[in-house]
Formats: sequence, C-alpha cells, structure tokens
Amino acid sequence: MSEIAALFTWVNVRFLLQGLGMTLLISALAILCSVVLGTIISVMRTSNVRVLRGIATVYIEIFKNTPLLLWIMFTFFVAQLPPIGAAVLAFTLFTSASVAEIVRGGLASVPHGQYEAARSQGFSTVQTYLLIILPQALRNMVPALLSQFVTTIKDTSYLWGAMALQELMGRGMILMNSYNSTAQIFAIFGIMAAVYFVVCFTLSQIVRAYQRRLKEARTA
Amino acid sequence: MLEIFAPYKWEALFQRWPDVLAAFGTTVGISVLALVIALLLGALFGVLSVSRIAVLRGITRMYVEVVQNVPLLLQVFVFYAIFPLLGFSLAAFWIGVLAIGIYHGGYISEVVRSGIGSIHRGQFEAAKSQGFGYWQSMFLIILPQAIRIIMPPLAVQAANLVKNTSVLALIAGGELMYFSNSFAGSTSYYGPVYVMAAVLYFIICFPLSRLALYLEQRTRSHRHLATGDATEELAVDAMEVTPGTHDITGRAAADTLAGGVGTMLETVEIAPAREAPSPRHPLHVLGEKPDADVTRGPLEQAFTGRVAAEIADEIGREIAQEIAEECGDDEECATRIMHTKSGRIKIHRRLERRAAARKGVESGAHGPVAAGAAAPATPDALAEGVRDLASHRSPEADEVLTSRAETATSDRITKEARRRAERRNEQAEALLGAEAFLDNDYVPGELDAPAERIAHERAPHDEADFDAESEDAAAREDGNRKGER
Repeated sequence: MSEIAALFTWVNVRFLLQGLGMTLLISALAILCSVVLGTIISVMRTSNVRVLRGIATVYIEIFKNTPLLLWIMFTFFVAQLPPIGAAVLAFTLFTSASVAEIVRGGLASVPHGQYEAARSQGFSTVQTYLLIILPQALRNMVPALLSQFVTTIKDTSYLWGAMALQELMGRGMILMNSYNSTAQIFAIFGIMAAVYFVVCFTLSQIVRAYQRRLKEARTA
Repeated sequence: MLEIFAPYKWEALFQRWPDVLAAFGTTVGISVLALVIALLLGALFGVLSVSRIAVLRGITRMYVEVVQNVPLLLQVFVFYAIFPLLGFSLAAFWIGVLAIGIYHGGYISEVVRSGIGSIHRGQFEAAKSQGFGYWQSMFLIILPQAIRIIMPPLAVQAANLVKNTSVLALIAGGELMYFSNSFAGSTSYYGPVYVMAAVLYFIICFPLSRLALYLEQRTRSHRHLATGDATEELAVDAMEVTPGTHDITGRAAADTLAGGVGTMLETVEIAPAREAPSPRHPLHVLGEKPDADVTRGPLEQAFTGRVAAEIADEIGREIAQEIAEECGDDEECATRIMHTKSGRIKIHRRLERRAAARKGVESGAHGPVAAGAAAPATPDALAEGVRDLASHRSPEADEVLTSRAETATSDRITKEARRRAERRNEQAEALLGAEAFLDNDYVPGELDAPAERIAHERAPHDEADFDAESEDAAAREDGNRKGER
C-alpha cells in the first residue's frame, strides 16, 4: 500500500496534470479550428455552385472514411510539422468533417421562416447567416459539439504513440516506466483511466443535461 | 513536395505488395471478428439495458459508460500491458479483436437500446395482450421492428470499427497501419505508403458509410404524411446525440432518434392507403424530374427547390383552408381529421391529387399535351406513374419538401385546431392534441384528464422508465375503458 502512496508526490501529480493540460489544449484548439473549417465546408456543401459542393463532399467523404491515426502520421511525417502543430492540424482535418455534418444539422434546425424574415428586413446572405442563423444554430449544436470534444479528448491518446507528444497518456506511460512494481503500474494505469473517465464522463453528463434543457425549452 | 512522392518510392512500395496484401488481410480479419464480438455484446447489452431488473440495467450502464469514456488505446493497453503482468498474454491480433470488439460493443448496445426505445410501446402492450411473454415479445415483435432503425447507425459503427483497428499500429498489431508505419520508418519513404493506406481504408469504409446513407434514406422514405409537425422535431433531433454514443453524430444520430417517428407511423398503418404502400410523401411528386428515356407522358415537370416548396406551401394552405371551411368552428371536427387514421388518409389523398394536378397544370403551360397511350388519364394515375420514378427525384427538392411541405400542411392544420381551441380558452387540450398527435398515443377519453397527462409528458424520463411507463399507460387505458362503461 505504501508503494502506491509513494506515487502521490506533488511532482508526479503535477507531471500528470500538465499532461492533462496538454490533452485539453490540443483538443480545444482542434475543436475551435474544426468549428470554423466545418462551418465553411458545411456552407460550401449547401451552396449553389456545383464545384464548391463537390469539393466539400469529397472532403467529408475522405476524412470520414479514413482513420485519424493516418492523418496524424501524415501531418507529422509527410508534412514534417512540429508535433503540436501536426497534432492540431490532423485533428482539425479529421474532426471538421464530422463538425460539417453537425453544422448542417444545426442549420437545418433553424426554421425556414428565419431566413425569410432576415431577407425581408434587408439582411444580405452573409449577414443573414452570421447574425441570424448561426447564433440560433449554435445553440442547438452545442451538445453534438461537446460530444465531438469528448471524442477528440479520447483520440489525443494516440499522440504519444504516434509522435511522442507528452499528453496525458504519454505522461502516464513515462511515469509507468520509472516505477517497476506491478502494483504501482496498475495504480498508474488506473489513475490514467480514471482521469480520462472523469473528464469525459463529466462532459457527457453536461451534454445530457443540456439536451434535456433544450428539449424542455422546446416543449414549454 | 514532389520529392515525397517520387516514382522510385512508389516502386519500392509496390515491390512489397505481398506484405501490403497480408497487412490489408489482417485489417479485414480483425475488423470482421471484432465486429462479430461487438454485435454479440451490443445485442446482449442493448436488450439488457431495457430490462426490468435494475441490477442488469446498472451493469449495462456501467459497461457503456466505461467503454465510451475511456480512450480506446487505453483499453487496448489493458490487454497489451496489464494482462501480461497477471500472466495472461495474447497475440496482438486477438488483442485487437477483443479490445475493439468490446469497445464497439458498448456503442452498438446504445444503438440497440435507442432502437428498441423508438418502437412504440403499444407494440409491447399488444404483444402482451396476445399472450406473448417478455422475451418472446422482445425477440419476435420488438427487435425485428427495431432492426430497420438500428441498421443505419450500425453501418456507421462498422465503418468506425474498421478505422479504429488502426490503433493496433501502436502495439505492433501487424495490420495495415502498422505496416505503413514500419515501411515508412525503415525506408523513410513516407509519402506513398500513407496514401496507399488511406486508399485501402477508404475502399472498406466508403461502401459502409454509403450503405448507412442508403439504409437511412430507405428508412426515411417509409415515413409518411402524418409526420406533420414531426418534421420540425426531426430537424431539431438532428442535433441530438444519442446519449453517450459520441461516434454517432449528425445524420446517423438524427435517424436513430427520428426512427421513432417513422416506426410510430408505420405502426398505425397510414402507408397502405393504397394497395402498395406509397414510399414517399405525396408532395415529393413535385420534385421529380421527368424521365428522359421512358416516355411517361408530357405532363410531367419537375419543380425544384424554392418553387417546389412554394407550390407545396400553397397546396398545404389550400387544404388547411378546406378543412377549416368544412369544420367551421367545430374544433372536434379538425381534431378528428388530424387524429384519426381515416382522416389522415383523406388528407393524404387530397395532397396526392393536388400535387398530381399541379404538375399537369404547370407543365401544360410549357408545352403541348400530346395524349398518348403512355400519358396518364387521371390525376391519380399520374401520381401513380410518377411515383415509379423514385430514382429520378432530386435530393435537394426532396429535402426542401420534407422540411417545408409537410410542416406547411399538417402543421397548419394542427395550428388551426390549436387556435380554435385557444379561442375557447382550452389551451391545455390543444397542446394535448398536438402532443398526442406526435406521440400517436392518443386514446379517446384521455382529454378528460389533461392536467395529469401533461404533467406526465413533461416529466423528464428516459428509456429506463420504459416498463414503468408502459404499465402506467396500460393502467390509464384501463381506467378510460372503465370510465366509458
């Protein structure tokens, strides 16, 4: 037991927390970039210009049907970007395909009358989207986006194996290497899993609560 | 940039083609076996998650939450790094099969759960009344119906599973991704091998996601007129994620949830208004393109996008007006039309007739009507003929039509009924009417206790309360029957 207690030094805890920070930082950056890129792709997807629509469709299909790990390898080894940049880019490319679908759903959830109302008030297309439609759509998109955030957090665990980026998983592995009793390795592994679980589960619960609120707002 | 993809690098890669093939085979093998495990676990836990026994529900909840909230890689490492410490080691191939199978089992169990949840609970009651036991009704009545709703998200899961096998590269799994990494590492020819891997993954996953889309559209095309207000709900549902199933977003999620509406409509058999169930909303006729090869009569003309929506709108308004005139101030009459099967079939026919007429009228203005053997004689026949052109309708028009036309008609009628009711300060009843319409849960006499029912509907509840609710509903119906006597 004392073996396990010996793990909980301030140095170790800080070491892991920094890893968690890195995980969250990369996930958050990736989601933010994905929302921007995903929105653009989604608007392209519904555009009247055939070429734009084609590009968006091809983009979504490619990234939806190939593994994320491949794109991590691609940005890191082929494009030769620095680790964090490569990670954020890979996640952005991959996630924005999903986000584009989410945005499309969000835009569809805004009643059509809102477009017409905006047009009748003299808003231009860009203004209509930016000022009227997107803010409303965003509210409906929050649960799905948070879910995507959870997925991204889980997927950042690839980064240690792929490019030795020290996020939570990586830090845990490093820590594991410096202890050699079985009990300690179990404990570190358990801690790592628990941290992921707590973060992801909390976010999932927020998603559920938010969805319930949206539903109530709709029925009220 | 070109240097990355230099020809000699491609050559080096293609010289290794037996290894590429072996790695690809390993990926496929792991995927298939893992999918089998995932399906078994998913079906088992999916059924258990709607069990009446709280402990079983608790266990499935725990399984799903743990599997979904801990990274897959970590779960793989349990098999790879932790189990050997306990004297239990497996080959990388089987680690992949087990870990990925268990991981996706959790997701599939959620898919199955929401599929079961979307089956109208009347089905359970009906089965019970026919003397079916719980398991009999589950396997003979509920699951066969749920399959159609479950299939599209299941195909999405299968594609995700294939993609996730790539994680085994990090434990030397010997599959496609691992081969790519080791080839790239040993030769430092990074470019070609990753492109090839992308293409190979795409070859497996693309048909799966297309299949998902196809199944989804097929499910959707079964949905019918009475979706009415439900269209709006669907759009919003598109944003809902089945709790916990993070991988299912957007469309798939929408369909899992929306599936409920589809099934509900089929349960009351609105579709077989004719002998063959008509596959779409009658107003879709407007969006269909005339066939170039087959001459089905010059009457046909397709309206797309806005025009179609406007016409659909107009038709909806006309019918709503008609109903309003027929019923006058009698809101019971409107309710009857909206809430009974025969009433809805009538609306359906009216829509069909008008849509067909509209197509004829509008195209008549554009070209001479040459009456041939192929030209349909009556509007009904025209509708029938055009219906066969399912493959030629434009998806844009379809989307616009589903989202607007249906709302335009049924929504208007509901609103009309609601407004009339409100005028008499019977807001609760109107709300109830609309809710009953969405639920298709409406039993005559229910309006007698609106307050109680509204409270019941508003109370937050989830599938876990499924059984309690169905018993509740049965009790309510019993009560109503007694009341009638």
